[in-house]
Order: sequence, then C-alpha cells, then structure tokens
Amino acid sequence: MDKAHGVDFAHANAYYDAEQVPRPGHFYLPVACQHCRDAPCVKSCPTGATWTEPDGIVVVDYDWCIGCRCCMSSCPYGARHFNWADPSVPTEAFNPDTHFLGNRPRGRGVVEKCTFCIQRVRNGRYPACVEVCPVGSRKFGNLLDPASEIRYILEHKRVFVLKAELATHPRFYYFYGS
Amino acid sequence: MADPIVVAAIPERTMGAAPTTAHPAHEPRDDVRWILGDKGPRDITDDVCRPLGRRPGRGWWAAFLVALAMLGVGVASIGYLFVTGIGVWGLNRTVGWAFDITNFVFWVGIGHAGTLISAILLLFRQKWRTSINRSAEAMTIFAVMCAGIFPLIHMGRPWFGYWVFPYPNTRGPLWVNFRSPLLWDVFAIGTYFTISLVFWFVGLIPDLATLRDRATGLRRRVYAALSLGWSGSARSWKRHETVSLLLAGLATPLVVSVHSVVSFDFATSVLPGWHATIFPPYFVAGAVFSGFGMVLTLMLIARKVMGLEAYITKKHVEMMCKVILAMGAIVAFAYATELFMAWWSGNPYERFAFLNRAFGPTGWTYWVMVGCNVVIPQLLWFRRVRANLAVVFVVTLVINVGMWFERFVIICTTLQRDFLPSSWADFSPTLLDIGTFVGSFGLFFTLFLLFCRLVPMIAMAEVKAVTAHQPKADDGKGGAT
Ligand code: SF4
Repeated sequence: MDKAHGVDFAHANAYYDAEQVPRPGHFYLPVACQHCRDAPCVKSCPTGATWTEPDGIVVVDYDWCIGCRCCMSSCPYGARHFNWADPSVPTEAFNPDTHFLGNRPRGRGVVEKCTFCIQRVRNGRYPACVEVCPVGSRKFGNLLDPASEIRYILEHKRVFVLKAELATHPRFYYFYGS
Repeated sequence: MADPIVVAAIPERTMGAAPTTAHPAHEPRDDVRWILGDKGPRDITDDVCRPLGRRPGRGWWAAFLVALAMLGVGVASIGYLFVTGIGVWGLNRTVGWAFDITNFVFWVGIGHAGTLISAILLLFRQKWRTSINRSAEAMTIFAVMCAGIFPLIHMGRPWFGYWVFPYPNTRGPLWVNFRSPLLWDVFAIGTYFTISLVFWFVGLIPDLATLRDRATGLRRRVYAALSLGWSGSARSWKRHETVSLLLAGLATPLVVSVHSVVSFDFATSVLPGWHATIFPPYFVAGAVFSGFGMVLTLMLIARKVMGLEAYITKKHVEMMCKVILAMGAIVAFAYATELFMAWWSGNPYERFAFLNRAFGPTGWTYWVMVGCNVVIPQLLWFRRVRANLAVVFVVTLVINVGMWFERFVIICTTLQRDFLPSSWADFSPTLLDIGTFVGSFGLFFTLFLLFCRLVPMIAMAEVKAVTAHQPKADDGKGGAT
C-alpha cells in the first residue's frame, strides 16, 4: 500500500512481489484469520466443526468439517482455505509434532485456516510468523495480562482492526509502529 | 369396486366445503368454464387416461432418451467429482460457491409453483388450478429432488453429509449448529419435500383408484396397492377433503418459508449484495416467478403432446401469465430496491457490489438477468401476447434462463469481489460444472416424462368438479365453488 494513501484497499496493489520488497514509500498489510470474537464462520458452520476455544483461538476440527464452505463464504477476510487435493507431504518432511486443532495434515475436502499456531502457543512459544518476522512487526501475547507487550501496544499506539464496521470484533489488531 | 363415474361424481358435493361460500350461485358461472367442450366425467377419465393406456409414441421415446443421456452426463460428472474432489469445478478460494449453489437455488425456485398452485390456490378456491396442479406438484417434487442433490455434492466430503442431521449419535460432542443457515435449509427443504410429496400423493389417490378400475393384470395390482383401497364412498371423500385442506394449510406457510430460508444462506452473512433484509420476499417472489415459468413451459408442451388442449386451455395459460406478470413486477421492484439501497445507504461496499454486478467482469450476466426477468416479461401485459401460445412459450423459456442468471449474479458476482481486493478472483465454469448442471435437467426431465406416462397428468377427480357438465350439480347440496 502507498504510504501517501494510507490504508486504502481500493488503491493498493493486491500482489506481493517478493523481488521488490521493501519498496520505498509503501507498506504491507497482511491479512490472516482475525480470530473474531463474533466470528461469522463459527455461526455459519452447520456441523459445529469450527468454534472458538476458551483462549480465543478460532479453530477447525478437520475431522468434523464436511467441506460445505459456508464459513468461507461468510468470512469477510478471505481467511479460510479449502483443501482441493489430498496432502502430498513426503514422509520425511512430515512434522510428527502436531496438534489436533493445528498443524496436522488436512485431508481433501476440508477447510483450514490460521490457528495462531496453536501447537506452539499452547506450549509457550510464539506463532511461527511472529518468530520469523525479521523486523519484529508482529506481536503476540495475552490480552488479559496488563503487563504484556500486546497490552502496551494497544494502550499506547494507534491501533485499528480491519473492517471494524462489520462488527466481527477481531482479536487481530493492526498498529502503527511510529 | 367403484365405477369410475361414481368416483367422479362425488367431489361435486364434497369439494365445495362450506355452504356459506362467497359465491351465491350453485350452478357454474359462464366465466368460470375452465374446461372446453361438454365433457362429462367419463370423457374426462377417458381423455386423461388415454395417453397412459397407449404405448409411448416416438416423440416420448426420443425425449426420454435425450433426458436419460443428460442424466447419464450428470451421473458421470458427479461420479468423477466424488472421486477427484470439488476442485474439478471452476471454484477457487474466493468463489467457493458458484454453479453448485446457483443450481440449488434455481431448482428450489422451480419447485415453488407446485405448492403455490395446489395449496394456496386451493385455499383461495381458485378453480383454474385443477387442470395444472397435478403436474405442477410433480414438478415441485422433482425440482426439489434436483435441488437437494447440489448441497450434498457441493460438500468437500459429501459422504459425511448426514452429519447435518441432528439425531442421537455416537460421535461424541459432534452435534449440529442450529445457528447455521445451511442447517435451516436442511429443515426447510426436508419439510417442504415431505409435505409436497404427501400432498401430491393424497391428491393422487382417487385418480389412482380410477386407473386401478380401468387397468388389468400387474398394472391393476400396482395401482390397487397405491390407491390404498380407495372405495369412492362419501366417507372416503370427506376424509380426503379434510386431509387435503389440512395439508394445504400446512403447505401454505412452507411456500413462503422454504425460499425465505434459502435466502438466509446469503442474507445472514456480512457480504455486500447479500446482507439485505429484502432477501426473503425477493427470493420467494423470484421462486414463484421462475416456478410458474417452468410449469408453463412444460405444460405448453404437454398439452400439445398429450392432447389435453381441452383441459389446459388458453384461459389457464392466461391466468398463469398474469401470475407471472405480478411476480415479475415484484422481482423487478426488488432489483430496483437493491439498487436504491446501495445508493441511498451510502455504504461504499454495497455501492461497489452493485456497480460490480452491472459493470464488473461478469456484468453481462446482470444484463441478461434484467433483460430476461424484467424487460421481456412485460410483453405479457398484452392480451394478444398472452393468447399466442408460441410467444408465451418463448417468454417462459426466457424467464427460466433469466432466473438462473439471477441466482448466478447474486452468488457469483458477490463472491468474486469481496472485501479485500487481494482475494478477488474470477470464476469460469469447467465442463464438469456444466455436466452436473445438465445432469440435473436430465434427472428432472426423466422423472417428468415417467410421470406423464405413469400417473394421470391432470387431477381427474378435481377437474370433474369444475367442468361445466354437471348433471347432478343442482341437487341442492352446494356447488363446487
Ligand atoms: S466448510 Fe467445514 S468448517 Fe466451514 S462451515 Fe462447512 S463444515 Fe464448517
């Protein structure tokens, strides 16, 4: 997105060209699952295969999902992905350390989404994206802990949520670094 | 064993229900002569049953083979789909619903006319319904069957489709989510199908008994079993009338509810172009519009092929055209209201959604929809047009096309352009999409052609009650009002 325009989807480039990153005068706005407090996907799932965990993570049980894609149609953030084909991870590349609601292989015909790396965060680690971000632009923490970094950001920075007008009340916030 | 004429004569007495009817006269009024010629009960039985007794003609076989071939294409497409996964359709991450749900809504819509004609018009005591209700109801049932296929096969894992039914199970905490509109669909369509089927069957019983009395051999035994020992006694008729009225009462709210619930699939989401309170009435009107279109299309063919011109008269066509016109007006009004809401609400998303519908990458579909559903049906204002069956036939075909496109526009163009430009994507159907769609038509026509051959297309007992030939109508027991 153009810094001059600010957060303006209508004039942003939808495509990420890795060759040109970072481009001067521009910024990036990644959109993953927003883990909404009032998640449209949870409401629309007929089988109850997707729900909000007590700690706020919206999860999918890949065994329960029938692949009706109601959740995909209702998600305003395009955060959910359908598995069109069977997983094709070679056995040696397979990570045996999985979580039932997280990084285990998803079969053909089910929907998946960002789980805030539930297999990591439940063990006290950061989600992979937070850990890997070279400039530390992603933060993760416990909103209920007044001493957490995330609370500091929410209280001291300019913060917004995506498409606030849709009243989905995301748990994913965007903040301006400066 | 009842003589068919006896079966026929009794409804004149019992159909009429309460003597406190709004119409003063017992004798048929001239302006309600719905059946041409002086047809007595025996003529009616003969006329309606004649095509069933004959061997099917070449035309029927040709149509049946075409329908079967289409069905075969559908079965093959669905088989391939099951084996390979729904990726064989043109869907993508953004457009997660396209032909599948479009066809679903289209077929549910087609299924609307039958119950409207048989239930609501029965309650309104519209006599013209008698000639067309049987086949319209059959179409309802077949269309709902076609519709029911799509939500099932559109699932990523259709073999678990039964998980949407809330029944005690051993799957631990797996239980349906009653907040999901898809679940409401399951109930709405399931109830609608059940009631329509029962209603249709109950209406068929006296006619099946007539067929039983005319048939011999195996046919006779089958019809005897199906007619549930119908004796044609006054008591049977009374029960029959009561059940019909009760079922009509049950079916009437369903006509409205089923497509309202289908519209909730969209209206309860947050997407612009879907999230609108006008959706339920808009969908119901559209469904009746398309349903009547389809009924009329097939009826015009059937009356010709089966020689039923005396029963499905120009007057019937005229009445149906008027219903189409009225429903078309509501649909057009809904289109206009949507545009107005998009503009007046000041909601940039809504505005964009509608501009995109009309001028976006698949904008042509919007104009096909407007042309077919708003512009061309206006021809039906003219009496001369309504009297020209060839033109009416073309108009109804156009309406069928238009209503399919309406659903496509609502579903596909909305999904193509959602809130985040980064996830915008276009949809183009694959051969498998088209094959499945063709297959649904194959199923519909196969069933309809079988229906034309196996059961009387016209509700004989009911038609006998409205024919001008009423030798015993003035017996002081009330007309068939
Ligand atoms: S695709 Fe799966 S998670 Fe999404 S609504 Fe359907 S069953 Fe639920």
